[in-house]
Amino acid sequence: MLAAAVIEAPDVVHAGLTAPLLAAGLLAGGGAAVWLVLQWAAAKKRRAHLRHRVRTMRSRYRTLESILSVSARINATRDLRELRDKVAAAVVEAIGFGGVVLYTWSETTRVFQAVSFAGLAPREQASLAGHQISQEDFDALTSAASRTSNCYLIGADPESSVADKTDHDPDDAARGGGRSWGHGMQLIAPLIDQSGANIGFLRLERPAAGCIPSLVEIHQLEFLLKQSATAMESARVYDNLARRNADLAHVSDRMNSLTDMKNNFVANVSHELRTPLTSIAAYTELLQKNLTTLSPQSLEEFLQVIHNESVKLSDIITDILELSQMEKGRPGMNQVATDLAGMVRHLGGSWKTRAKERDTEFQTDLGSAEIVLPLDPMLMQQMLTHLVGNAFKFTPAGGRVIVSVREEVTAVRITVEDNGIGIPPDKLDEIFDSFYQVDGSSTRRHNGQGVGLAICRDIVVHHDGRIWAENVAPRGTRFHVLLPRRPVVLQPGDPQKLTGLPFEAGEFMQRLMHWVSESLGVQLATLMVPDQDGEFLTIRAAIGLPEAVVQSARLRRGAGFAGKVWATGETLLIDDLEVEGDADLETNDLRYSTPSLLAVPLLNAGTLVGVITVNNKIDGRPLGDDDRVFLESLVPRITALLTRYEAWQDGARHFEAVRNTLRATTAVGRARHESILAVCQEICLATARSIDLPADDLARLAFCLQFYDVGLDRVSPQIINKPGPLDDAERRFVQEHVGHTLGILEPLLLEAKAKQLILHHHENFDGSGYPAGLAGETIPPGARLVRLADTLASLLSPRPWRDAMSLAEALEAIRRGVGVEFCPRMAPVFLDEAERRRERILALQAIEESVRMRGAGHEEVPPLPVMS
Amino acid sequence: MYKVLIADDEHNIRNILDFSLHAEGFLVLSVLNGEDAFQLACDERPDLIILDIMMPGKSGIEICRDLKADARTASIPVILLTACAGTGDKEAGLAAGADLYITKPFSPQNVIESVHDLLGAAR
Repeated sequence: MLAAAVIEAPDVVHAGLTAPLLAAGLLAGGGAAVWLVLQWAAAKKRRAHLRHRVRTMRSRYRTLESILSVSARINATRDLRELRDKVAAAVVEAIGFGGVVLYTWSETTRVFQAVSFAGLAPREQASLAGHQISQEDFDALTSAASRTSNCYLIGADPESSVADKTDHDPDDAARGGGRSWGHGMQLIAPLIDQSGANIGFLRLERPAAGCIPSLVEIHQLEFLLKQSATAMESARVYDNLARRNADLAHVSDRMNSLTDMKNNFVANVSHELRTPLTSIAAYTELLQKNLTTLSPQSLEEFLQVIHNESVKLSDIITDILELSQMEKGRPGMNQVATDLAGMVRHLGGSWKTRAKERDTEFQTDLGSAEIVLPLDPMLMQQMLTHLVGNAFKFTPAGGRVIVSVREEVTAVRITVEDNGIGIPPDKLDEIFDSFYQVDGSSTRRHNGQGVGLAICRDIVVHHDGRIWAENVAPRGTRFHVLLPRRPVVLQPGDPQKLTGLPFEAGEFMQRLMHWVSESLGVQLATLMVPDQDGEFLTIRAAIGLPEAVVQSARLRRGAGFAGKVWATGETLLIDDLEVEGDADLETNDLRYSTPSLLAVPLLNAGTLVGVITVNNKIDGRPLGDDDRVFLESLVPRITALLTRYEAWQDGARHFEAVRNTLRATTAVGRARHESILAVCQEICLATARSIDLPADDLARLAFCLQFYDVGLDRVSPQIINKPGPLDDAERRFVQEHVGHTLGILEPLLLEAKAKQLILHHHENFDGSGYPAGLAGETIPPGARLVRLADTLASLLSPRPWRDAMSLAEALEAIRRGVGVEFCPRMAPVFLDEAERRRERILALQAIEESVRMRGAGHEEVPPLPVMS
Repeated sequence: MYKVLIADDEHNIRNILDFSLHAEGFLVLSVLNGEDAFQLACDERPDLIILDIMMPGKSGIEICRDLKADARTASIPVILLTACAGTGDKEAGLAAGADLYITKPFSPQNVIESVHDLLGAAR
């Protein structure tokens, strides 16, 4: 018993002194045998203890060794993402935790974000990816926890923290004497960089030993994390340097290619000048030598050549001078009301002659007799001459060139189309750069100094318009020029910091305002933003307002319509300005030619970043609830674009995508004005309301109804307008438009539900549709509604393979498809809503028919080319 | 009568050469591009060929190379008559086997004299 008591006595473990004393006492007591037994027991105990210490030390040594080796690996990693994964994995491997989540601090979003995982099940990992914790949440989390060194233990009783073991021998825990790890417990280990800043933390679960780690283990963990933090800091520095290097390389490439282009320009210009000069010199020499012997016809012919070539020479010189004008910014622009159709008709004569010489066909397609808008006629003529000349140049004999001028909702569109050699897709934007030539080599097949299109773009931009090129199938190029009838006016203070990037501040605002006004079919759209002190709203950009108003308009919170929206944070839809507008009319006066107005707030995380106001619908109808829903559905998109625009540093590539999106979604020109398509959208929204579609879904539906088919423009018109049935490959091309649409809309950051709606709008109720073959209620409700609207609009319009159906025929066709293509719950409601608008549809069909008759002979692009 | 083949896509240049050579008593064949020039050279075996460089399709340099590589046409003298006057252009032309490199603008009289020289040397 005594021996047992001694063994149990804690002191005996390090009893270098006590044991002999005790033994001496026992000896004095007279039990030599007992002494021996005790001596043996103590020695055994000591040996066991030593063995244990050695084991512990060895295990610690192994841990340290493993920490050092993972540290070395971590330090050798330059890639930040890879590094984070390695850190998470290292904690599992070297320290022995079953689950690790690494959060890092983001300066831009001001939160900790989960970026790396180790030891987690895939599902768990997926649910945590991107998880965010604010600084406040982090502080709250850690303040409630018990602290050991720099780490925090969460979800444990206060007494089971690591801290209360510090006054004991830390080996306790290492020996397995630590308290066991409870369910739901977590250890938070901060990542502290050299400067002491908290750059992130690790959330650790399920230690391998199954117990709360000891102080020593915590210190090991912190040692590893210190290494990691340093490595992450240096990786970040490295990353920044690499990125800056890449930027520099990009700039330097750009400079080199500019230099190359200028060098080419000199070579090209000299070549261009030589060609007419050669004829002039040679013919003059011939004339001088043979003046007396030449026949009158030859004399006449030679003089004509000399004259023509002199004109060519002077045109080239004009171009070169034009280029320097361009660089000076065109101070002498002279805009007057000009009939563009008349101008094209006038120029058409000489183009026809030119076409005949080149054995090329030439056509003009002018929508109406007169298309008047404010232009500089000299410049516009120059632009047209360039574009058409260009088309001729790249179109071999036997080809054709078509020039068309069309009026659209807020703009006039000029297209110049050829069926020539086309432009490589990756060069479609570059061709508008000065001195650029697709083939700049000295063996190139085509003449020109590469300034024509740069001049065209400059002229168009100075008219607040846009120009771009696309290839058309099977071959050829189509240039589009959009000239606004109401130019966008920007606040003069708009920062020009963006100059130099391919997409400049002015152009962005211009495209944005065009997008809004074209999409809603309104003449007037204004973007107001709060000033720096948050005292006034000022106009950032506007379409349809005089410049003086843009510069002077200032609204206090609560004043005017936009000010009211600012104060309430809510949409304002005014049906009848004269009745409801009262005091506001002072500030807003005569601009409202139709008595309705719609103003929506742009809110970014609860803060007002702007107010968009629209009025004056092109078709003269008042703005209604559908317009409200639609504009509200645009708001998150506009806010996203504006926010990204403010964070301009994102880089040029991103803005290319934004530009393409705005271009594609504006260029469709399917505005919300009185048309069959618009009525079909209206029927669709009415159906959605009557089946009680939730408000969020309604807004999404309104948005998607406008843009669900923009990807169709990427499908070859040859296929879309094919009169006969499509073969399998062609059908696949058409079906791919859904993917194109989603690609075009990508920069608008659509939420997943909106994407689903677009993705599935060709699904059939019986599962026979595409792309997923969804059936019944699994098809998103909005997608089923779009399917109905899309079909009705298509049936009511003519297609190359059939005439337009009458309303009765179209409704009957839909009725027959109920349960097959269409949802049996929605289709009857939809058909009812359509019946209610019978008179309007009939009237619109008559109008569209008469427009077609007038334009007979020209190929009309159908408003909604859909294969249903 | 000597046969001279001209390849140039510029109507005016073909005309003036045709006129000048004709006046000197040459028989003139003219084409608008390099491929036709090569074909006609093989079929007609002219005594001399005048090639522009920048033409639709194959360039004059490529055609010159083809002509010099083909046994049927290798011995026919070739003049490159071109507006390409950059550094290295002439060297490239001569490397392709051209007998003479004349830059535009040119004097028709000089071209006639060069044609006579080359034909005299070829005899």
